[in-house]
Amino acid sequence: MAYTLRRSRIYVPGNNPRMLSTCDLFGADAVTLDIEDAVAPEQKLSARWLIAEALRDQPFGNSEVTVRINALSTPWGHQDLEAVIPTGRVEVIYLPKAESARDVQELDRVLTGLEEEHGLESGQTKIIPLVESARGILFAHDIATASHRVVALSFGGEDYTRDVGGEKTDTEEELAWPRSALVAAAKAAGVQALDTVYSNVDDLDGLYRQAVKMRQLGFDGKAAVHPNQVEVIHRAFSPSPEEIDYALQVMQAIEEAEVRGSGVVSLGRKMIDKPVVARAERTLMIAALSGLIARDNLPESIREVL
Amino acid sequence: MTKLQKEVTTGTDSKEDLLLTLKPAPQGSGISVSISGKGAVQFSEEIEATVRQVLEEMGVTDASVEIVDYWAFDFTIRARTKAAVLHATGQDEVVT
Repeated sequence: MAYTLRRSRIYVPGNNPRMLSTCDLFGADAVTLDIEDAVAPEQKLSARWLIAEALRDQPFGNSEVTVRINALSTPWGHQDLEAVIPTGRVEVIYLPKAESARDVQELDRVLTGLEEEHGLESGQTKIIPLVESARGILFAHDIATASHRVVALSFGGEDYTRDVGGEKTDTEEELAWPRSALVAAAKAAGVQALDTVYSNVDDLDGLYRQAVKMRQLGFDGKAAVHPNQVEVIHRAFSPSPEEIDYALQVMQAIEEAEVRGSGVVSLGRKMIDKPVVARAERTLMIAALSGLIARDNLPESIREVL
Repeated sequence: MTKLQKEVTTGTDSKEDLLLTLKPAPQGSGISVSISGKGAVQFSEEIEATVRQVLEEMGVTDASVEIVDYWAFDFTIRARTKAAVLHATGQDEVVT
């Protein structure tokens, strides 16, 4: 299956016409048009229709178009879907406060009905549950496997901290376990893991350091709350020239071993085993999708999956 | 036919937005639209056409509309008009 690059996604408040009209300029891998936390209850209706109308004719560049609806247990969730899905433009619905497989299955059922009603391809709208509570973390694998529409799990750090009665610190050590648990649950389910926002928009160095750590932990991307954060996140989640070079060497060593008919592969004095090959393939795939390496320079096995 | 029950205002005075006030009007009086603001000189015809189209789609035949435009895009004009009608007809209790 083709890999979708989701290094960055930027939240766009649904009640802000100016930001809605400039989404194509952010350069993010995804834009998340937000009707949930960024919008006060008395503005939900206005935001919902601003988003729905923007979806009809506004440009979004190459960004994946996603909408964060209100939870289906609120008075607004179902109406949000009824407004945005008929446009046929929504690629992913972010489901906030997902805590069980049933939450995802209910959304799946509503989406199936709306897609059928409006002549859309069945299953075309994907789901990314936002896991942002203790219960959500404990049931993360159930949530990730509840529907074939789920393509990633996304972590919500602020809500999680509040839910467990903890305190958010600058180092965010208190979030280490839920983050690791979410990555394991997502990867066991074969979907991506996306990290929470870095809310200090003035501290781009801090954002970069944290994003690099999250990539090392296994996350595939991170949310942004300001356009300035997008490029920093891309840099953190993109392989370095050295990593790309090493990955190419690994793949070349594999090809040479195949020609020799040798089952043992080594690079220099280092054995190349399956995880190393898998990591090299992933590095090259992300590098290619990020425009860091020309398609012609890729091994054939990578070109096939792009 | 959609009957407006109350006067409502939607939108903001931020750049690329508009303030739209929708008022009920006596049956048979039709739609009247007045437009002022920064984009009015250049785009008042387009703004009025968009507002009239949304009102027609939503079955509103009698209404008075006052708009203060701050260079709103077409999608914003449509959304603000639609939200105003939904609120004025009591189809949603909360709106800004």
